[in-house]
Amino acid sequence: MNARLTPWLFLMPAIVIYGIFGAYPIFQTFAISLTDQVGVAAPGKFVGLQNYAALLHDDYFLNSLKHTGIWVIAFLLVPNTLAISIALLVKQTFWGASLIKTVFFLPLALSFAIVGVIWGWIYEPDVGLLDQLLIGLGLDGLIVEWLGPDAANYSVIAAAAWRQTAFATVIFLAGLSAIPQELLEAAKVDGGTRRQIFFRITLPLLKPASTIAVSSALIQALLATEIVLTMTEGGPFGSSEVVGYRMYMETFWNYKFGYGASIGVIVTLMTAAFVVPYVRRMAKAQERDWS
Amino acid sequence: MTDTTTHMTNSSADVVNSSSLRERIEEPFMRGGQIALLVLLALVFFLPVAGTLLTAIRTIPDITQNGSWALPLSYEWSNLSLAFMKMLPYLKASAIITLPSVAGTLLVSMMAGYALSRMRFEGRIWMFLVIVSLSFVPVHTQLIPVFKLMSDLGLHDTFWAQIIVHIMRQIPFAVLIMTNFFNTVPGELREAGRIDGASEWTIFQRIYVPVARPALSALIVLEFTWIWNDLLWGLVLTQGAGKKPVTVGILAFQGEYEIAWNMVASGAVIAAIPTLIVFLAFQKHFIRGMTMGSVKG
Repeated sequence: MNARLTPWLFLMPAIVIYGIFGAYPIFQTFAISLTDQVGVAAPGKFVGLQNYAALLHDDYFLNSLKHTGIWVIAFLLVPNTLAISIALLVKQTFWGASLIKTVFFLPLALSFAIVGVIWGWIYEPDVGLLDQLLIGLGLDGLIVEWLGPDAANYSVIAAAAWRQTAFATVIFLAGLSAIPQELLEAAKVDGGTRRQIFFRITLPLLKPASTIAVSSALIQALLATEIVLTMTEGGPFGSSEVVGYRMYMETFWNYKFGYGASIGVIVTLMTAAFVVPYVRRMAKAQERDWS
Repeated sequence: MTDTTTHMTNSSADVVNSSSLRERIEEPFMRGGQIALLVLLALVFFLPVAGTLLTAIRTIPDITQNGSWALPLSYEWSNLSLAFMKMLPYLKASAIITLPSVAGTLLVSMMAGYALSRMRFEGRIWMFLVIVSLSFVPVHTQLIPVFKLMSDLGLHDTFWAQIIVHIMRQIPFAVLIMTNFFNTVPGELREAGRIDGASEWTIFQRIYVPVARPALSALIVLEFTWIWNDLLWGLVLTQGAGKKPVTVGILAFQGEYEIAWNMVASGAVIAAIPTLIVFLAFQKHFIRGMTMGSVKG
């Protein structure tokens, strides 16, 4: 075998499959977004940036953009804070700790379709698990119409955050166990308070884990489509629509392929803006390893 | 000089003493409180699953009369068996889609990961960067053209379309994992093989594939779960019921039973069982895979 050719032979299956079914479609999506294509049969005619211009005045789209913004903020804060707390608590070994871990990790095994179905039942008015729980605890006053127009977006976020917390807990636990125990002991001997130790030692050393947890939260929030589809279908009255779902609807429901593609491009650009710094850091690390 | 030393020793001894005193009295309370808090959190976290399991084996009159959290009056196991019968075609479809997709992903990504990690060639870093970046590409930029391409190829509404697309989607992440894993394998293995005159393919297949077992088991568990749990491609690439995966099936099921919540819960339980079993049986691999690559949720 030719030595220069060998690596490319090993890479070929991956390159061919991704090239045809992954990379080429990415370029096509950009191209389609510049047309007024309707449906799959006939190509549309070139309309330049008209789809993008139309998006700026599309109330449905702007509405979904706002909801995605709320997703991003909530997803950065809620699952990650919860997960750090859980990870710190779980790290103490005690009898039953592994069972507790399994409970916190369990949602990772469930699809968004299942999570959507389960939480749909949780939020059901009156008989639903949440309302019944609150009634049982004497907290009837807190009950709202969880999947009504005012709360639906937040309720869907809460369901997805349940799953995201599981992911972040895995990551933060791994991060915590990578911190040398002697370091924490030493700080304790030097008279550091719990608070000082957490903020000055533990938290800074969790930076790699935090980077992963934060970027995952960002991506999941920006792309959230499946859970919206299964729980609310964007409703009621568009109150839980997000950009990813909007793209799916415009394309496969309204058959506006060109328009849907332009939303797809925007979703991708938003993701890229957050991901590029992360990729850069990884590149530097790998370059160091390989040189 | 001597004075200061003694003084310092004394004060640090004080610190140690007071902290051990603190530990003796305060720590058990703190620890007990923390564990109690943790158990409470875990219970709350488990409520959705517990509620679903409970609902699945009850009757609707029982639920409406006695509340959703009451223990069942009688166990309605027939809900689950009916749900299983209804979901069986979807479960079969999911298995037919998922298993070849996982196998294909592993094969393709092992080869690519081996090349990236073990061979020096021009464009290596560049290739690696492309793969890292691709692992973040949202499905939204691929859905439309892939749908069109599969229709053009006559593969729409076939298992092939879904299998190919899943392999494509998983390649970047899986290659990343395999590259990182092979990076940790000592290079002497390959050198030894070369001295013996073995070809690159023989070295890969005889030495590196067996060594990769820990990474492979983690990857298998993760990929199985992710591919099995996909919904969007299953919706977009299928038409008839026969080719739809179980994630699409559960939606159809929900549509059919609407407010028969015991049936909907049973359907959810049945649909979740394969990934739950895999997760519970191979939790360690699952978690390891996640922390090895950890870019996905």
